[in-house]
Amino acid sequence: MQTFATTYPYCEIKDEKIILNGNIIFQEEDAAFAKFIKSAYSHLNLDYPKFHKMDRLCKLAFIAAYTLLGENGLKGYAPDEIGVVMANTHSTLHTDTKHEESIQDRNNYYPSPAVFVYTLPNIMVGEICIKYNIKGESVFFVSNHFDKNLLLEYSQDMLQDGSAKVCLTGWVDYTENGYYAVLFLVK
Amino acid sequence: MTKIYIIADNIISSLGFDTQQNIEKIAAMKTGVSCHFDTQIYPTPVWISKVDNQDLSTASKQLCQPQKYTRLEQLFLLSITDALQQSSIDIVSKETLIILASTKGNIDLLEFKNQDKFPSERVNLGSMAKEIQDYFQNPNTPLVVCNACISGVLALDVAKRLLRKGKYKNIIVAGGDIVSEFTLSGFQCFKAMSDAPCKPYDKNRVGINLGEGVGTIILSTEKPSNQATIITLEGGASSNDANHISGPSRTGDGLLIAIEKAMKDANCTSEELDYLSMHGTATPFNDEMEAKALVLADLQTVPMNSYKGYIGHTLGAAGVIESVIAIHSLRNNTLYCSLGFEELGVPEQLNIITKTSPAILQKCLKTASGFGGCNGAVIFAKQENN
Repeated sequence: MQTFATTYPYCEIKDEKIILNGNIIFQEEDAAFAKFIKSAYSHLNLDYPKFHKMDRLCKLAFIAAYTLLGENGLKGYAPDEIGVVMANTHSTLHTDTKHEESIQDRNNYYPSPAVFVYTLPNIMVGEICIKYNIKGESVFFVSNHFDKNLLLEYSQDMLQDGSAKVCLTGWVDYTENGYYAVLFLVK
Repeated sequence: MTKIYIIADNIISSLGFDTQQNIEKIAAMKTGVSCHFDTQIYPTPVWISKVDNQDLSTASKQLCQPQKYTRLEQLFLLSITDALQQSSIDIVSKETLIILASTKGNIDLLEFKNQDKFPSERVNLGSMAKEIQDYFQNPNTPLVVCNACISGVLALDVAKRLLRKGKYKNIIVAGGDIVSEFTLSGFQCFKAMSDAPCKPYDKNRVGINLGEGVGTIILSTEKPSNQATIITLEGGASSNDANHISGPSRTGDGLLIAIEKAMKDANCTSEELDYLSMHGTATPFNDEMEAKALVLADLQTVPMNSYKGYIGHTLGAAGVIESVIAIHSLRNNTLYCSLGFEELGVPEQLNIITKTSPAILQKCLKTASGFGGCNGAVIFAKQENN
């Protein structure tokens, strides 16, 4: 089932399923997110130690990007020709809450740089840029509703005016109550 | 190419509630950074640049029902209101868009001591933006750029793209962040904070002072008729280091890409730039990275400064607030002293402004860099209106 009427390659992750261009390529029913995303990592035969340090939001974005791009999906483009346009609703709320819990009690104060660094949503973009050596233009928007057309139009505009030759575009949101990721390769 | 005009601006920081108050203090080399020992803010004394609560509540009396808005929302509303009063744009028009830039928005609402004061969804940037949109009765859903410390610069670049496309006639770009225990504790555990006024590019720099405030710039594709001197946003770009999520590139190559792309976008050469308003956070690594990028871009002889010594690091607001100061630097033909700098502490020779002085200025570059390896750059130019 094609959820998106778009000609661009895309990867969607929802309900413990990874969907590539409309086809389910991996699923683990009734698994909690942490277990599901770890199984997805194994399923993709990834060997990327940095993954294990990431927060849940970055893990979700990283698995979506890797499913879409594999190891070589951006070969043929110069680092500064690749753009990234991403968005979500809850920014980094899950990790924000974790950081907040570490500073609630003045007598038991334990803020951690390993947590705090993930309290910015563009860290997802940074993690993907490190993996794929992406040095082009990027932007992260936060909005209450997923406006797919706005993100795609913005990316197409970057291609039209020569700011990028290819653009990784999409939505990655994670909270305790649910998650959703979709990334398109706009070219 | 569509020209983009700066038609109005505002700064709210520890130095004052409008641009003029801020510029006057900067011209007099006054800093808004001071030591605060207030356990409501932080368990230990911290050197920060803070908007006075009493001043804010006095200023907010001009707002309609200020108690309905969080501290940051009040700052946004006041800043945008002041900028709007200088222009004749139609805020309720479909052709006017609001773009907000913020790293953490109403993050103070997540703090235990502030819970239940406002509905919990107001911690979402989209919900904060909705309050601001509704206050001004603007018909368009605001865009919110949340891209670490380059949010403000990047929001200007996003506005540039949308204006060139002809999607809007006017865009109000407002960047804002507050000093909260959330961010203070985070930067403290990173050991990135200075326990004295910060010293960008100096040999003895040890880290940042966090700051708070809001900056607003109104951009328009319509040439202002009431200004003798006009400032345009000529171009901009962003880039990523693809190197490390919490440290800048060691070589400056990422920032170089943003600077070079911005110059290309603005159709401007390195010789044409008269002044550089840099990010200059005063962390050892950031300032060193910037120095290397400036050498690579062949800009090391151009007069440059950082405004962090005056207003601290205002995070998502920094790019907008510091752009406003840079714009007025062009307008006033004045290079402002890079406060806190005494002795060169980066490996490259740079032309750091050590004394506020007059200079004929036409074009300036504004840069920012942040966590996630992101870099942004925009270029402003001045011309006589005739």
